Amino acid sequence: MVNQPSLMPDLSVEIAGILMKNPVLTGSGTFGYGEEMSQIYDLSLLGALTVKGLSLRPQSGNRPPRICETPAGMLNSIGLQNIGIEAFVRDKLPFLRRIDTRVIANIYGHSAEEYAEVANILDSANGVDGIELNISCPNVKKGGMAFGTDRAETCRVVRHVRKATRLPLIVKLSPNVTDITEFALAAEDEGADALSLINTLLGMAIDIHEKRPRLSRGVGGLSGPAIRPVALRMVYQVSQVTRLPVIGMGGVVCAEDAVAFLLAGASAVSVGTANFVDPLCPLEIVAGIEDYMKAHGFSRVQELSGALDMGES
Amino acid sequence: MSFFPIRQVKARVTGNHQVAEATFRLVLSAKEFPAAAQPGQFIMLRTSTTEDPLLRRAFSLHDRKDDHLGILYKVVGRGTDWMARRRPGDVIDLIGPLGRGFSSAPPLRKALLVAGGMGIAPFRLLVRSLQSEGVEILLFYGARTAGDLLELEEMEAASVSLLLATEDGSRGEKGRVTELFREHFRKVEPSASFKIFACGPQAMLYEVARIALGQEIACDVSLESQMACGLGTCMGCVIATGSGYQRVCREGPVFSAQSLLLDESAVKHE
Repeated sequence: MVNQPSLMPDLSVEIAGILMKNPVLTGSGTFGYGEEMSQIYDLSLLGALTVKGLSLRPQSGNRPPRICETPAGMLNSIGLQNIGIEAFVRDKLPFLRRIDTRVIANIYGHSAEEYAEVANILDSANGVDGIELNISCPNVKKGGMAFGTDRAETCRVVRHVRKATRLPLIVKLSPNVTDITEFALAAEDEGADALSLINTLLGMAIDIHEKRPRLSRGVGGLSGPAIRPVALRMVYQVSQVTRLPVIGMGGVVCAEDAVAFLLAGASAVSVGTANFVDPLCPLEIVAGIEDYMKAHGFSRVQELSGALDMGES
Repeated sequence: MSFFPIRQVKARVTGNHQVAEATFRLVLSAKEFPAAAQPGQFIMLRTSTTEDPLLRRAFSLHDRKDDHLGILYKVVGRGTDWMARRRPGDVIDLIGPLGRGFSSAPPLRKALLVAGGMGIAPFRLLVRSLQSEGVEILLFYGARTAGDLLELEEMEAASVSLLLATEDGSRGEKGRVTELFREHFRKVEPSASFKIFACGPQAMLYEVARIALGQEIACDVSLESQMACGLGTCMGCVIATGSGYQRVCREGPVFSAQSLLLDESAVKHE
């Protein structure tokens, strides 16, 4: 298919009512509270940034070692170490307000009520454009993935948070389930405005000389290029059944990966582990998506979403 | 307009010479690398051009002259093996300068440097900086065997007093450098104008930190940790301190002995 190259493709997207200048976000837990990365590049070039998971009270996180490299990826078991919602609003948000990009706050709780309380605090804190509900962290004992791998719990926590906030609500889904579409539909039924997927896949690595797991908690979340095919498949499956916009993530390191997620049905993509390896890559991805759109005659990003040709007659 | 203190740059290899068994000194030309880099800071090197191995590797800044950076490294795995195969003209992607380096504020008169093995790497820059401030320098340096003791000529040329130890006794005292260091305080009265700077394996550093606390001498230790980003975002490299888990890449890699929790079981978990 050779189309006329369009003059200037429109990269802006609207997700859950959040207007973004381009479809490239950064994944929670890979971007600190934003200020760390602002020492390397201008964050206003991003569509949106997602901050590290926030909880009601500060969390000390898990005992080290917390990370280990695996084939084309890494395992992490950070345990959501964070400064707590109050300190975030007081100390981190003023900096984020000054940046001309969208800010998504990833939140986490030990109970549905606690999730709702955190969401409610953000509701009155000027400077947050949307909430991402983390019901899929595999690295905490209570809460986290337990909410995202039980359909009834998913419903309960989304329902509670929906009542507590008027902010756009994005639910981040766990891939550690048999059928992710059930959870996508559950979140949609309870009033989510968008979905992001996938969180990390539960994994393990063992040091055979020490006869010990490489992570202190034994297991952790796998991320990076290694999980890309799984993520792509799940984004495709979820996009087929939901009307909600999907933010696709899992091993995105370059524009080709981002375009694949968009074609699979995502409305935007999030860069995660690649921020560690190549901090400037979100900017290269924005430029690469634009090049692809010019070369293939797309004038708006949303035209890519779902433009996948499955070759069915 | 905007000032970015940390830079991601493509550096060109100008030298990569073996200096000991499996140990190399890499020299890179990196014009855009910030001149303000401090002794004890580090850089993150990309040691692959593909998705595997994925993560960057952290190295102490070993040397800095004009547009050139030096890295002293030992081949221990796939990343460093990739590095050892780079030739002049090859390009390596690096990020830096990162973290907090050594601090040497007055009234410092005498610096006691303690290095274990590859822990000697950041001391070339530190020695240069201390000497420009007229500080007297003693280096306690230990390694497994004589061949693993690096930088001896450079240190001697810089009039650093050397006290050496090897575990096999092939050079200097037989035993660990921490024993040599502890022994020193049987002969020398500590003073407020002394400061200890240590770099090496964690067990050695914690031992040095305990000695420093016992002698009431200011002490900076440069820690090593498995890192994913080096930028303070992943929270993967933390170490237990009196104020909770702190990032080796951001609050460190240099920590004061007082700030560290030398007994990690004391860390409270929620």
